[in-house]
Amino acid sequence: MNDQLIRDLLHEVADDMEPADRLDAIRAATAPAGRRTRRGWWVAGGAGLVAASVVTALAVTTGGAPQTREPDPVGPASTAGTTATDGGTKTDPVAVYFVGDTASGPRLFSELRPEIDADSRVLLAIHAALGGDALDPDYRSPWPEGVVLRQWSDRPDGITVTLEGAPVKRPAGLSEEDARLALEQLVRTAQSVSGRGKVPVDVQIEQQVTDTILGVPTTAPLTGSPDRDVLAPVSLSEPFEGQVVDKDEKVLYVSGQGITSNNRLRITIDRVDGTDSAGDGTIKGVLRPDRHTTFGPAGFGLAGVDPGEYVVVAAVRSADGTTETDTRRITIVD
Amino acid sequence: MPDHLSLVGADAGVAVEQLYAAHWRQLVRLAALLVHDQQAAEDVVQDAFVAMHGKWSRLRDPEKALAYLRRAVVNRSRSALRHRAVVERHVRATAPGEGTVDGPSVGAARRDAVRDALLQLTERQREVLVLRYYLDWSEAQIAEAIGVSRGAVKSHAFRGSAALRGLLGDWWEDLS
Repeated sequence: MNDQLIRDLLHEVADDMEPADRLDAIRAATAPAGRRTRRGWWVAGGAGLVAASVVTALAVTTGGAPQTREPDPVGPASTAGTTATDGGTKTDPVAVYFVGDTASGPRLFSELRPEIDADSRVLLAIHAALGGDALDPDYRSPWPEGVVLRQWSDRPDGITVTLEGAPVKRPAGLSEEDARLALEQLVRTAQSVSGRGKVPVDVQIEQQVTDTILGVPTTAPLTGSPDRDVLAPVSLSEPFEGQVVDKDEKVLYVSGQGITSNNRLRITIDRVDGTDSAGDGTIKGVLRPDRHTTFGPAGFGLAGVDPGEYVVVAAVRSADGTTETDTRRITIVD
Repeated sequence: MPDHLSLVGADAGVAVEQLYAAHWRQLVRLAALLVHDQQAAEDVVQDAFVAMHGKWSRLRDPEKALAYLRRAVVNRSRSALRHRAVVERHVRATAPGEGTVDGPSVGAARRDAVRDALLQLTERQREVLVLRYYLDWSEAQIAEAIGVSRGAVKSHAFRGSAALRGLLGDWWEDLS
């Protein structure tokens, strides 16, 4: 093998990858301490301390209701990252993350919430994540009951999520794995709401300065663990759980994300009672063995499909040979 | 580099922004060749930039800063690999050639094979080959960066190339 061939191969491999933008995350991590986190504002004194007090006062005067409008305690905030808007306009779907069981243990699944109101986007997504309010009954939230969002701040240097009722230490009965996934679930849902990628998320407990939440270190803002460590091997984005599909739409679209050892993703659409199949296909070469990637939308024609209750199953094979799946129940109507 | 001349004397924040604009993509790609995982590569380079920001008062020079970043990426990639709980060494457990049938293209399957082959090299072989053939570094530069002698660099390069030839034999035939 000559030098030029090795050079060509390495460049071919490297140039195949398009890095994600991390400048915001780097800015957040290198910002002056007083601007980096709310924790910083508390200890900063002067203008920062006064500003932080104003934020708290706003929260208290809402009578306990979560505050979704962005407070602006220090300096100008970019409009790019804000989520609250006037009016009841619909926004892009938001991915809410939940914990589900896989052959390799508990992992995160994302559940896309369609046409969510801009006004209630933050509230609905974070509360769904905390409360385990999943459309799919297979999903859950490890957060203890009673934990609610109290404050939300989406600024250029990161997101701050302030919770009420969150335990500092890991409660009895909550495994370390579930505690870690609870924070991952919250961080990834917040990042999805913000729509700016893996920006740092500073998770805090209202009116407390703490180094841990559920026993998980939270001193520094969190950006989330590598996908392969926390995400389920396969997760469906569409169809939505419980989606009603009119045959007039002619095509059912299936999409999601996953990782597979053999480059294959199998999608089946079967009647719930097992009497009929509406689709069975294998997508080759889209998912990768080394990292999570998205797939679809793959279209399944609905001509000739009888109305009824169906289950959509996406299946991949793990490196150890185990088959991992995610499912959605849908109703096909005339 | 002309783009960096204005960085001399700049504050750390400005240095990070300009070096990011000029080198983020290549540094992540460098890290990805070493750690075999895009997100891990982005994490490694992000951390390197944050560390560089902290040392800017001593670096104060764009060329030194870039050299620092590259060295930090190599060292942090090595740490990331060592600490990864699960390393997938066998991306393709099936027979050689099956990927060309199932994959989206011959090129994609070849890239997978190269990534997999890189992971099967020794740590030093992988670093030497990537620095030599992706960054076009000299033996002296590589020796200084990874803390070995020039003779050792030569040896790792020779053995690494031979190992790659064995691991990528089928693809070598396809390319020639």
